[in-house]
Amino acid sequence: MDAVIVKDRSAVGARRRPLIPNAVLGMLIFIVTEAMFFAGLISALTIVRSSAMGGLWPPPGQPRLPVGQTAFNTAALLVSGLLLLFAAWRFRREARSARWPLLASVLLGLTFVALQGVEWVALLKEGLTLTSGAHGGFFYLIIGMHAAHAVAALVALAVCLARLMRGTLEGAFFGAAQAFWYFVVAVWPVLYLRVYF
Amino acid sequence: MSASAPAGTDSSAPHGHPEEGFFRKYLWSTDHKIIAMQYLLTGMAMALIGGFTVYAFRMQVAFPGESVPGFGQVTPGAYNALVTSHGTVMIFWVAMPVLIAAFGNYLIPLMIGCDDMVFPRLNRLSYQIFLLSAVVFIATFFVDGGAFGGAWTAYPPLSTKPEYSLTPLGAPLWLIAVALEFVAFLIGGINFVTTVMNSRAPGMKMFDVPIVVWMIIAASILFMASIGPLIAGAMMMLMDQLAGTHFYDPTQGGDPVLWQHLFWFFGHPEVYVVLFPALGIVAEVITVFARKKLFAYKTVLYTAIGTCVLSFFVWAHHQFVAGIDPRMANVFSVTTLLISVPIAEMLFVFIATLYGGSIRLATPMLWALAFLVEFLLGGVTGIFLGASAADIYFHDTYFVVAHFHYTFFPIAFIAVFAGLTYWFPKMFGRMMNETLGKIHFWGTVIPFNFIFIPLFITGASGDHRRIYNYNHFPDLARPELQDLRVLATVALVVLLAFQLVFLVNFFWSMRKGRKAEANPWKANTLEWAAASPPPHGNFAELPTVYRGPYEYSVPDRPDDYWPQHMPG
Amino acid sequence: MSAAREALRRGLAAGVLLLSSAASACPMCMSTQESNRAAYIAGSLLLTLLPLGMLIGLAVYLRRRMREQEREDDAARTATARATPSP
Repeated sequence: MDAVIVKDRSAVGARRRPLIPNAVLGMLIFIVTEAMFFAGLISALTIVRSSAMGGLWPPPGQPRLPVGQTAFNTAALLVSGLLLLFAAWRFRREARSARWPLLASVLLGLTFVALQGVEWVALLKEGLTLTSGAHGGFFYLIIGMHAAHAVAALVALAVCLARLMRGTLEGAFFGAAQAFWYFVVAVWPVLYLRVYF
Repeated sequence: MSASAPAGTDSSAPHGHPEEGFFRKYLWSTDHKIIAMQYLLTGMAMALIGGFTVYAFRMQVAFPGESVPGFGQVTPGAYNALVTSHGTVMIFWVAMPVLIAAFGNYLIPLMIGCDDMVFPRLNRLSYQIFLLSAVVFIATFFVDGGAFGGAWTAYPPLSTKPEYSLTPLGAPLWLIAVALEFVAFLIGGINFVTTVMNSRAPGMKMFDVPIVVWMIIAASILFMASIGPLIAGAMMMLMDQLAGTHFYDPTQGGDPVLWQHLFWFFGHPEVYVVLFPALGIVAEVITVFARKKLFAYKTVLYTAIGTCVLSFFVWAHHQFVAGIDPRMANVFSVTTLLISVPIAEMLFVFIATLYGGSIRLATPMLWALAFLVEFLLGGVTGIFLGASAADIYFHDTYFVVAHFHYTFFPIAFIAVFAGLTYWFPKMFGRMMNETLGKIHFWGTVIPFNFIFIPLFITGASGDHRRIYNYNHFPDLARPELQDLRVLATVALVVLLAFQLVFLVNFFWSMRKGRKAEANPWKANTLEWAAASPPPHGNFAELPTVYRGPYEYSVPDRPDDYWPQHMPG
Repeated sequence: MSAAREALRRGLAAGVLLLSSAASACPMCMSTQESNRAAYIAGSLLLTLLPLGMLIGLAVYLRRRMREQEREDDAARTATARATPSP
């Protein structure tokens, strides 16, 4: 992430000496806000489920969440994050050699999103909907928000891949996209543990 | 945007931009100064709306049931909508855009000596989203059922169920408008922090950055760290309103107090978000007009950081009567009393800066001094409310109203007027009229006290707030307090009338005022090294910094000021 | 003697603090479930400490980068000073 050197040595460029690239710093600050967003959702869920009738969660009569199947999805997502780390390492040494790990990372991320979608369809069939009480509401809100973030990050990574192929990928842009994907990956286990168990 | 906004001698700018059309120059610009002016003028326009709403509902309180000139009969629903709109507009569409976005956008690049923000297009996007949010908000007045009337805190279940709020469209639109506004400031805040971290002029160390820039940065960080949970809560509320979920519905396993929890987690830091830039503006004005070095620069900085940390620990004091755990109430009582220490310390620092200075009572300085006095009153009365036992009595009375207006009015208006009168020559290249400025000053500060001191008295006597017509509640009516209510309303009308003086002065001086030189106040900070008004790209030659921003009256120097960019 | 009185006063103050029972403004609206009240406290702690932790982490990281950059600057400056000897 920090391997970017300011190449622009024009009058203005030379004066602006970024501590870390602008895009990466901006993304890190954005991630702080995003982390707080998910922390708000998690604390809301914790509070609501703590007052559940008889301490039972999910409430009696509501469908169970597929813990085992999601464990597989979780593994796919974590491996995708590791592959991206590997891609970043390759990118620093020899940019073009990063394209295979990057592609694999994006594909695994897409697998995660797709499998989550399959899971949603099954749950909807079982009768878990947004309006079927706080349980369903929180499930679809939290997991849905995570999925939206995952899709946004995957789009950014796909753009990175396309630029890498054309040889126009800048380290700052790649760094920002990476930071966002690491955030999406890192927040998932927390959500998984809080929502599914 | 008026035609006399920064005209830009573009040929001399380092960028050498060609002349652009009106649309690209004033409406689609990425220049931080133009965006600042857009924020400022939008904020001023919204302040007129906020002022009009308060006029209408205060007239109803003072003269219940009578038709209000310029508004007509105030119905109970309209009363609620007016109170809600007043609070929302003044906080989200006046204080935030003017203090953070307008001053932040205008001052940060100039004061740290660079040509623009690091993400200029994001900056433009930020204003466009903000404008959209303002439009959506104004639209709530015209939809079926009228504007949202559940108070700016929007507690459920009043805000989530149309059968309670009676505003099936107003409530969700209100929420969408507020959420859009948050997105705008989120983008802006990321821009501010990144710019200050990465684009300072060469030689400008961390402790050479002017206090006002630090304060805006602290406010932005505080905003971004506290906004997440509220966005989460707002999303849940919007789904409750539109998708039929039950997050806040206790009959379906939800929890209505949860919203207060998420709202005030943002709501209290928000007070410091608007307070910090105000304190920064006051610090700048006081040092320049006292011709003295800012007393204890580093202490101010560390105090601000300490306040940021502490401000995450005080928010539950808004919920003392909402049935929170007494264990939490005790902790939050103590932290609330504690947070007055750093703020008091900053006020003492400003007083110490004044001590022994050669004070010049120009209009900006008058505003800055008034800020110290009035804000002090607001802060001191907060102690009463911070003690959870006393709060049980004071809660929901006019005492609370008077308290937070004694903090918010100095922040959102007195400090803003200090900043506007001080930086006006830089913004528009012309001086404001001093006589009109002083008339406006006294015409604002005196009626302000006549509004809220009576409200302290009525509140301490137990007068409930948010009552449409006291005559409807015989046990709350307290006819002996009616004179004070009328006094407050009359003072309000006087205060509003005197704002015309400001508007006349502002727009007249913009076109016809005396030409200002580059550094009319003989100040040190970098923005005065640029031409007045600065062209696109700001500096003819980007400055290098040699010293801190507050070297005034240094012995053995011919001048009593020593600009940051001057070598030697 | 005055020391004893002082100790007595402190003891009384501590006693008042510790032995007084909590008063609630709205006994009806407070949750009776200890688990719910604990969840509120846990949620508050999470929301309060998480941003502080993240911001302190970011600040430390930036500070380290700043130090590194200053060192690089100094190195560059001495290098140019050596390259262009002053007359």
